[in-house]
Amino acid sequence: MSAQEKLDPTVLSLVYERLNAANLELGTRLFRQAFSVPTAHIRDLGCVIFDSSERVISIGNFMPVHTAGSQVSLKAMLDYIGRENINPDDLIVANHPFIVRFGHLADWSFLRPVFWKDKLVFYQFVRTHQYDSGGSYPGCYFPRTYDCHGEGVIIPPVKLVKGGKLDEDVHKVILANVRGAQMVRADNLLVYGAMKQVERRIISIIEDYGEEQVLAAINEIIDRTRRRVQDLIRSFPAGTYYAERAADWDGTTDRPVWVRLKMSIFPDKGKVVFDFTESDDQVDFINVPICQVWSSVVSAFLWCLPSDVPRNQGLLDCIEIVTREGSCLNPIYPATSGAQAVTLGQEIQECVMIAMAQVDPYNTPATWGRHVNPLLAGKRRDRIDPRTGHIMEYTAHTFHMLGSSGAVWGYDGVDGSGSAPLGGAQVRESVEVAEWMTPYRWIKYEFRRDSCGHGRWRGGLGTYVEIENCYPREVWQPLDCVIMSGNADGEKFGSVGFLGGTGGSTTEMEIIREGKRIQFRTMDLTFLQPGDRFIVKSGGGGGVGDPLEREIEKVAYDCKCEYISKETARDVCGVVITEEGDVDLDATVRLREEKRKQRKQK
Amino acid sequence: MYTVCIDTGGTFTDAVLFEGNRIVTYTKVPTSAEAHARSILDALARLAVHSHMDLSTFLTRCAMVVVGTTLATNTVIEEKGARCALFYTDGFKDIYELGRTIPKTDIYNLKVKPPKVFIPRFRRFPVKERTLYNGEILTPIDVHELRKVLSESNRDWEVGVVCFLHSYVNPHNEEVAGKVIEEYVGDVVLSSQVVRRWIEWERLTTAVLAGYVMPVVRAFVTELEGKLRAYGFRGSVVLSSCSGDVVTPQLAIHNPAVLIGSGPAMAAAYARYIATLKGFNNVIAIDMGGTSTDISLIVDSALEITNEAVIADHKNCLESVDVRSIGAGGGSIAWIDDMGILRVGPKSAGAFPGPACYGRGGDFPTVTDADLVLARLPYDYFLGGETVLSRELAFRAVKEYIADKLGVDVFTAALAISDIVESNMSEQIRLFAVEKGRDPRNFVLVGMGGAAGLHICGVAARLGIRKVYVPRMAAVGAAFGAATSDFAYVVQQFIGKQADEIKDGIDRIYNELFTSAKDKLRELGFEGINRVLLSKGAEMRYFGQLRDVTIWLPPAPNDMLGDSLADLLSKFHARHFDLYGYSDPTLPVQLNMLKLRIIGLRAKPEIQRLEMGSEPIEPARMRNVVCRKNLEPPVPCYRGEAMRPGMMVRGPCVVEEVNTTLWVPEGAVLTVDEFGNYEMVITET
Repeated sequence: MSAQEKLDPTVLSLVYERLNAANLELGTRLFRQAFSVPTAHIRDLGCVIFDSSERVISIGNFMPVHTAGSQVSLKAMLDYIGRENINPDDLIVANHPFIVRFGHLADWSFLRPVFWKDKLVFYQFVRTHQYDSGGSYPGCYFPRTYDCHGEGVIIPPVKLVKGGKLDEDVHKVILANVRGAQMVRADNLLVYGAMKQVERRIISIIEDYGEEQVLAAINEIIDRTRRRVQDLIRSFPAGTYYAERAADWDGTTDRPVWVRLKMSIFPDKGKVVFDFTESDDQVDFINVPICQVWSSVVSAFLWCLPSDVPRNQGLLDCIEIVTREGSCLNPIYPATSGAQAVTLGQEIQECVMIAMAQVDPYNTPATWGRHVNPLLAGKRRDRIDPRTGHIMEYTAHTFHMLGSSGAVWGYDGVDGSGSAPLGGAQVRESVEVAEWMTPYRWIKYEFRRDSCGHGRWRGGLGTYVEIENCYPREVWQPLDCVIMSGNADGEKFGSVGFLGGTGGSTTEMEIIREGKRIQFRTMDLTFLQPGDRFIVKSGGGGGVGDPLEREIEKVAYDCKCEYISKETARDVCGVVITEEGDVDLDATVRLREEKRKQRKQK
Repeated sequence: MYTVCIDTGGTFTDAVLFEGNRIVTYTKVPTSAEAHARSILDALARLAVHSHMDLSTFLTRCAMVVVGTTLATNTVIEEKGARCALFYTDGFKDIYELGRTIPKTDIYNLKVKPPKVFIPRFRRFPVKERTLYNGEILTPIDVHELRKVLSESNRDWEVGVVCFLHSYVNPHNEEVAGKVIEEYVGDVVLSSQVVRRWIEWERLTTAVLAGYVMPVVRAFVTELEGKLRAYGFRGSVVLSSCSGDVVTPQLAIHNPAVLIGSGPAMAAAYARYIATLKGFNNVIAIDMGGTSTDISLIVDSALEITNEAVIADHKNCLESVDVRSIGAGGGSIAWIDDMGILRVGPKSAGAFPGPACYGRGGDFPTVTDADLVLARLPYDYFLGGETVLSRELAFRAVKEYIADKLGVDVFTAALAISDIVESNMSEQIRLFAVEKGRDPRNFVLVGMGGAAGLHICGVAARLGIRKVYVPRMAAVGAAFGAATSDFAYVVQQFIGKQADEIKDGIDRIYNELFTSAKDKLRELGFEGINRVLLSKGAEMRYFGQLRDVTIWLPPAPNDMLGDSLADLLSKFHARHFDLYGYSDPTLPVQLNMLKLRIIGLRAKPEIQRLEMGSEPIEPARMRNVVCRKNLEPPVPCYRGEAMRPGMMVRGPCVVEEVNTTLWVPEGAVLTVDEFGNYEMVITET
């Protein structure tokens, strides 16, 4: 009998729970006290445990963009360093987009081997959004850089820690290329410290049950996961399903950039092939390297499966992804990729959901509102940073402009839940904190009425955000208040609904300067002046099911709360609300009948 | 004179009677869900009978009644609170939804309901006003316009909650609005008076909680005091708070959020008392009931406190005992998941139908059923033999739902269930400790709750903990905890400054805080305000970080001189290292909120020390118990009431108490200590 066959079921349960707990502990140790705004606030990090044969064992419940797909980065980092050169207590860092195959240079990958009795047993992998990674502006969301080098410091896989000793020389070179070196250094040490502490947890699992049993349990978990996912795929109808979605533009050339998916379901093989070959050629700024393609595909696919499907190699084994070299989903040097996850990354997610809606519509959520989170950055000449003694700089990722998730059969989207790349994991910045940190004053920050997709279940709403630049005029200089919309999308395309549900509103942005409106686009960058007002209206998620089937009380409630207008209630949902705010039931029944009749005639 | 400490839980109301500092007796009566005040009277009547007096005579001899109530907590959980209206800074209607600081963690599940809000959007009213981050008032309130809004509202609400931007730094606009709203409705809650917290959502959600429970708390306190007075009671009533302290009824009505979460806080306060009594510096307390286990930490004899306590979908940002509730209890259901992996919990069979062995129609195997199959739990001594548990039903449930599906025998399955629940508990305890920067191995594990005794040694062994303590009074622990608590109240002020900028000013600010708190506290019924201890604290971070670490200095008399800033800074660096693995004294430190905890000490009860004997104890019987796989030897079973101080037994053995059972595994040694409690040392794992 093999070790796997004589595996104790108790050990199986315990290894499974404890590995997941260890991975959770790693993320928990990281996100709380990072200097990096995204890491601390939106858990913009991923933690994965790999076994020594480089299979994914546990993907934590953190940011979807960093998790699935990390096997691509891991293998690339090991190839580069050489597996024979991996030693105990090494820490390898990298962000090279054409090696780790992950763009957005602010996201650094960290890899640390776990040895037990001189033998390599696991790898810990962490990816986090750094405090800063250089480039023309902070935050990595500025379009129109000349090439990838303009986007920031590029780090090929390199040992930051060698056998427990920090390589200060390497670190110095890296830190000389970022803003806030002190903070980046502290966050790097935070990652290293957390990994070391969690290593003990992983080792204790081996000590408790023995290496053979633990490895047998891991094999068993992966096998069972694979079988579970294969069974789910077997329940899907065989066939090829198409979807295409586009980003507004790439910030350089004013035309939409299309992601095209041909999804083939092979129930007999228990496999799904996501073929993106027909997607547009590589463009600027929004290209998505293959590791990120994986993350986007897997996160969207998971939303269409039961939520308790384990996230490990067994799941990944059922997925095949095809992209074309030189296309926007497999760019080649020196392509830029600053906006990867939040633009075309979201379009990938949308394609997967649209394709899956043809396969399993009652379990597939409508798409989320497009990612909209213009970044405010700049210098505050009225303040000195006590850490550097220089003028204070600020970078605010407020997440205020994000919309919401789409509906899924039986559930409305959750108002304010964010965008698909973040999966709802973000916490929006407090207005009070943002006003303290930046020179801006918030004028309005509320839900945007009628911005959701409608349906028997409606999508969550988009938001309306208006802020005023209160920078002291006497010290202001033209580059002090930069606003970057490289992480904003959806002015041309909103969310989509399924099963008769509609899509949400598109994104609208403008700047009011001295009473005049200036259009501000997605994938852009501009400089605000004191007194400018900046307005963003974002779209909500898509609806699911026929809006005429929506429960009348729910429509009336949405109307009473002004989530939707009376006009929408009437025109879209067929519900007549009186001046006093009550439902006119008779008129509603008539109107709904009439609307159904009109539809049939069409 | 007597002091009575009462804890009304969801099921039982416990009461402990003290004469001076000595415990006289304790009792338990069922809680009447509809009338908490009546349950308290029932408990008092029971104690009066015990003291051979009628209730009136008894109450005239009571100096103080200390009351812990789950009323506020349950009102929130059951969503049965008042209809509230929100008055917000115009332009920010949806902070309640958009500003949430509790992130979604199950990000791959979109089939979810939105988090609950207690004030629907149509009951949120804009107020034209604006305060800036530096406290400057940009737009004063237009009182006429506010009156207009109020008179146009159809007033289908009972409580007005006011939460304006930046009111933590300058509450003026909130105060003006509050006065106007009071002209229209009696109950008004100002966020800046509930908790002076930076971050608008956290202040808002706490203020809403306070408003939501305010009418029910006031009705309860008024009814209780009225009834007690009617019986001639002339003493004082005090209420247990979420921080593990007690407060006056006036304060509870003024800021009812202090009662939310007070139940588990009092159980933790009991553990703190035990820790002090025994000289345990660091304790992890677990209270393991049928559905869940509450975990709390005591570090250097003080309870670990949080100002981000989560209750259902809400946050209570008052200083609260940090209690982590996990879905593991005696009633946790064992099940096989879609991949054929055995899991335990978080679903529970609850009190009804309960575990299969209760014979009340529960089909599914639970942890208690596994304990019964393993014979660690006696079937014939549950509640001292009042209820007989069905071994047959337990066997059947474990066999049918677990053993047969896994292809193992029923004992192996039961051992696995027990192992898994202990492993889950220890992982969660470890994670909780790790988040607080603590290493569980340096702690004593204190077990409370009916289900703790059977699993506490297993949990301890997994955490690398050597010492375990199970107090016998744990059944009325929360009531007893209330007796051990001091009066306390926290006031705070936002400064948002770097340490360099406030060098000499910090103690002046603390003094001002104390001075301004004095009048308020007198008004709220605190006596002896001049004889208090003060604990200075601050929410601090390295400049540029996004979250604060709360630091408290030890309580000291007000006239004690010291350099608070230096003490705060050195504690901050050390705490940061514990929490996050690094600290850097060269980084500038920012102090955001200064806090002052005002403590009115109360006399603590004295548990009598008993003489330690050395006589051996005879087991009441021998029973075959499954110790580990394929090992079911007869092991000695002792009766709890026969175990006297100084007696020592070695595992494997079972101690059968009326309200609980202790499983002492192989390698553990149990002694009864000078307080009659069980102390266990695990010598090998």
